[in-house]
Amino acid sequence: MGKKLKTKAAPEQRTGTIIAAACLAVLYIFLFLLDNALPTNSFTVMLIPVLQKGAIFALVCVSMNLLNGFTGLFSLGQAGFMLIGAYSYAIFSIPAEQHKAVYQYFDGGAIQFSIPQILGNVLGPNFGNIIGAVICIIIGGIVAAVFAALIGIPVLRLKSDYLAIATLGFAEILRAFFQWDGLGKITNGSNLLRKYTNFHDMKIQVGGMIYQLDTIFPFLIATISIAIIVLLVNSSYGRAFKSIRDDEIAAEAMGINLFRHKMMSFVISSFFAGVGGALLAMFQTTVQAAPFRTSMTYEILLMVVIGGIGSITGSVIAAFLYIASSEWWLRFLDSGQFMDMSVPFFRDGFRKVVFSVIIMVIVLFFSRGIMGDKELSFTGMIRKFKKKKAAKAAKAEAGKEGDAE
Amino acid sequence: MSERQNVLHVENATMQFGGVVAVNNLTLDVNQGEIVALIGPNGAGKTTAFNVITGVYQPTNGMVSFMGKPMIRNHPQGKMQKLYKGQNAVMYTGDYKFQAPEGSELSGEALKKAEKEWKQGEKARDKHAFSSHVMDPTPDHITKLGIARTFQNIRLWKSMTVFDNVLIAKHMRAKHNVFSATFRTSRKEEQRMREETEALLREQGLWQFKDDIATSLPYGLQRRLEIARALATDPKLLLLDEPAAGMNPQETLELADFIHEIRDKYNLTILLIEHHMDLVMNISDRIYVLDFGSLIAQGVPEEIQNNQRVIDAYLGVVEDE
Amino acid sequence: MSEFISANLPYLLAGISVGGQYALIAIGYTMVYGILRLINFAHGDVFMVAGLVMVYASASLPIGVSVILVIVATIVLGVVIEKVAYKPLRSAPRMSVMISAIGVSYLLQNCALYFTGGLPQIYPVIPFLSDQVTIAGATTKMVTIVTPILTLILIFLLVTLIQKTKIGMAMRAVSKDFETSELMGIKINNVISMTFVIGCFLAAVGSMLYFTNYPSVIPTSGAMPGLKAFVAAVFGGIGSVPGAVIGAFIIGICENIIKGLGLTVFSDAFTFVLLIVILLVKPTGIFGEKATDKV
Repeated sequence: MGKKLKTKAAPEQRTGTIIAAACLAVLYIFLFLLDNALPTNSFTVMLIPVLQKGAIFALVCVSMNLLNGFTGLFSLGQAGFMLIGAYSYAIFSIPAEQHKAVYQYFDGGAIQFSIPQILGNVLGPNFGNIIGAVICIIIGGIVAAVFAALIGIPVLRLKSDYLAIATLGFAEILRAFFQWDGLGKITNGSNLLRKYTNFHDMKIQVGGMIYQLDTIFPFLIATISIAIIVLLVNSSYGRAFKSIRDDEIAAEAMGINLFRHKMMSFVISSFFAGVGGALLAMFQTTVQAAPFRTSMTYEILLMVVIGGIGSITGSVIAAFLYIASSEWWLRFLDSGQFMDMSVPFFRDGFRKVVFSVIIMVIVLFFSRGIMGDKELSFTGMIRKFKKKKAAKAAKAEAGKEGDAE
Repeated sequence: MSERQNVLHVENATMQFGGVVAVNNLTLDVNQGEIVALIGPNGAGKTTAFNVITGVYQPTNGMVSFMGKPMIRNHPQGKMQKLYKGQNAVMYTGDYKFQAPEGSELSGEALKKAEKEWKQGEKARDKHAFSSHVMDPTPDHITKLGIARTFQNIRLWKSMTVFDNVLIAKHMRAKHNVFSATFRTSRKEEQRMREETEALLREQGLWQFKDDIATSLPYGLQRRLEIARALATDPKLLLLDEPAAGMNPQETLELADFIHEIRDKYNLTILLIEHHMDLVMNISDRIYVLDFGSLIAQGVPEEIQNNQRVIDAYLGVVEDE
Repeated sequence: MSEFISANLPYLLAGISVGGQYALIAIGYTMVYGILRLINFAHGDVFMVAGLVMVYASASLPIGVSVILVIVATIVLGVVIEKVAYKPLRSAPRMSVMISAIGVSYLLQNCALYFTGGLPQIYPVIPFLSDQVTIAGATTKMVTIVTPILTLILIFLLVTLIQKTKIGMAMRAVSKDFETSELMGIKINNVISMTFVIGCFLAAVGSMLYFTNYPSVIPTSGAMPGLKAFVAAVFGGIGSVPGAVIGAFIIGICENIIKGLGLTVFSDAFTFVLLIVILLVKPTGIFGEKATDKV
C-alpha cells in the first residue's frame, strides 16, 4: 500500500530532484571557476567573502532553525556554541612551530601538535590539510555538542522565555571562561588565536596542477551539514520535534519523551553551530572570544526570522541575502556618495540603520518572513505549475462547453 | 465479569494543589474489556484523576498500578509532605514502618515478632510495600506501558496533517534511532509505520482527509482523529476525556457504537469521563461518581441512577439544565 | 579588621550604588513582563539612549534643563517603541514579540552608532553627583551615596502608586489576568503606556546615576547593564517590584565583591551563574508567583 503512495508522487519528485541536483552541479562548477579561473577584480573580491560567509551563516541559521523553528525551543545560545567550535578548531590546527608565537604569553601553550600537520606528513600537505581541517571541524562540532549536553540537563526543563534567557546566560559564561587567563595555556586568554589552517590552505593537487578550494570548501561542508539536517527534519524524529513545538502536552501523552527529544535537538543544533563556528574561524583567520557576544546570536535569529521560522530554504536564502546586503550591496550607504552625488547623511553607520529599519519592517509587517514555514522545492514548483495548467485546461474546457450550449 | 484481569487499579490517590484537594482518596478498579465511566459535576476532579493516572501530575499520595504492577506511587513531595495529613498518609511515604499498636506494652522479642507478622501481612497485600523508591514515571513512559488518552479540549498538533498526526503517535514504538532514521537506514521501519497509519486511518474513516490540516476538520472528526491518534500508540487501556463534548445527539449516538466497536476490535479496556448521561448509562459496565474530589458512589448504571446521593449531587443538576 | 573594611569598603559601596542603578532599570523589565509577559530586550538600549541624550543636551543647554529633557525624551522613546513595535503584535505568539524587541534593540544600537560615528561620547559632569566624598577612609563620588537613597525613595513612591492609586490597581489587575481586565473595562492601552512611562522614567534617572561613574557612553553601553538588570528581575521573581530591587542589590554587590577579589573577567559571568542557579532551584524567583498550565 505504501508503495502505491510512493509511485504516485514519483514523476514530479524525480524531475524536481534532477533539477535540484543540476542546479547544485552548476553552482559547484561556478564556485570552482571562481576559485581558480576567474580573474581577480572588484567584483570577485566582494563576491568570494560574501559567498564564504553566506555559506557559514546559512549553516548556522539552519541549525538555529532546527531548535527554534522545528522544536519550538527558544534558545539564544548559538553564539556560545559557535565560540566553542571556533576555538576547538583553531586550537587543534595551529601548526606546531607557530605555538610559541601564538601563545607568547603562555609559554607556547599546552597543546603542541596540529592535526592538519600530522595528517600532512602522512597524506601529503595539501590533502592532509583538507582532511585535517575536516577532522578539526568535526572536533569543534563534537565539543560544542558535549557542552550542549551538559548545559541541556538543567536548562531544557525551563519554558519559553526562561529558556531563552538561561541559554543566553550560558553563552556569556562560556565567553568569560574562554577569556580567562587561567585557561590561557589552551585558549590563549583574551589574546587572538591565529596562524591556523584557513580557507586559503584548502587546495588539491591533480596531475601537477594545484586547484584552490577557497569557496568550495565552506560550501561543501555547509551543504553536507544542511542536507543532514534536512534528512533529520523529514525523519520520524523530525516529526516528533515538530509535535513538541505544536503541543508539548499532547506530544508527551503520545509517548514522546520530551527531555530526550529536546536534548537531541539541542545537541544536534549545537553540533552544527560548532561546525559553523569552526568555519567562521577559518574564514576570519583569527579567533577571539569577544565578538561571540549576544548580539551575534541576535543577528542569527534575525536572519532566521527574515527567512521564515520553520523553513530551511528560507534560512539559507535569508543568510545569503543578509550577508550580501550588509557586507556588499548596502555598502554605498556608508560611502557618502550615491550615483556620483554626494549625500551628506550617507556616512559611516547609515547602512546599519537602514538595515535595521528593514528588519523591523519585516518583523512587524511580514512576520512570516520570506518563506513562512514552507520550503522552496522544485518538486513543489512543478506541482504548482501542473495544477495551474490543469486548472487552465479545465477552464478552457468549461468555456468550450459553455460555447456549445 | 468477575474473574477478569485487573487492568487499572487506583488506590487512595490524592491530589492536592496548595490547600485545594482536587482528588481525595480515590480508589477505583478497571478490569479487562470493561467500559467504565467516571462522572461527576464540573470541578469534581475527574480530569485531575486522569492527569494523575497518565503522569501529568504526581499525586500527593496514593498509588496506581497497571496490569497488576505498581506504576505510580508517591511520597508526598516537598511542601506537600508537610501539608498532607490525610488518610493513609503513611502508607505510601518513604518511612512506611511498623508502629506498635498504641497502648500495647510490647518489647523485645514480642515486638519483633509483631513487626514480622505485620510485614508478612503487608507483603501479602502488596509485594512492593517496602520498596521505598518513588515511582513517578513521566507521561510518555506511561503511554509506553499501554495507556493512551484523549483530551477534554482536543489537543491535536495544529500545523500538521491528519496523516502526520497519527504517524507521529507511531514514533514511540518504532525500532530506530536518530541516526538510522536520519540516514534512512531504517527505511523498512518507516514504511511499516506509514502502512499501519494508513490502515488505521482507513478503518476510522479518516483516510479521505489524510492531507488536510488536522484542525481544519469538523469538530466531531477532530475527536475521532484524537481517538485514532491514541489508538496508534497500541494501548491496552484507553482514557477518553469527554469524547462526546460538543457533539449533536446523532453523533453522540454513533459514538456509543464506535466506542464498543473499537473496544472489541483492539481488545481495549476503556475508562471515560462524560457528561452526556444517556451515553454513559448506555455504554458503561460500571460507573464511579466523584463529587468534590471524593468518590460518592460506584456501581452498575441502574444502581447509580437510583442512588440518592448521586441524584442530590449530580443528576439533579442535570435535570435543571 | 579596620584595614579589611577600608580595603573592601569601596567595593561594597560601589556594589550598593551599582545595585541601586540596576534596580532602577530592573523595574522597567519587571513591570513590562508583569503586564505583557514580554522580555523587553530593548530596555537596556533605551537606557543607553538616555545617556546619549544627556551628552548631546548638556552640550548646549544648562544641566538642569538637560536633566528634564533626558527624562522626557526617554519616556517618549519608550512609549513610541511600545506603540510601534509591540502593540501591533499583541495577539501574535510570544516569540514574535520577543523578536521584535530584539529588533528594536538592534535598531537603537545602530542608530546610536550612526549618530556618534562610533566614537565614545564623554559623559558630562553633573554637579553634586560627581563631587568627591570620603567615607571611613574611602574616597568616592557623591553618586555612590545618593544612588541607594534616591532608589529607595523612588521605589517607595512607586509601590505607593501601585498599591494606592486607581492606575496602580488597574496595573495589578492587568498583570493578574490580561483578558479579564480588558473585559472589566480597564483601558489596557493606558495601563501599558503608563508602565512604559514609569519604566523609562526610572531608566532615565538610572542612566544619569550610572554614567556619572563612567567616563563615556558607547552604543553598546546599555546591553550589559540591561541584561544584568533583567537577571535581577528574574532573580527577584519577574513581575515583582520589591523582588527586582532586592535582586538588583544582590547582583550589584556580588559583582563588585568579585571584582574586588581580582576576578574581573567573571564579574559578568557570575550574574548569569546566579541566574541559572535561581532558575533551577526556584524558577519563579524569590518573590515570583507560580504559574500552572491547565491540561
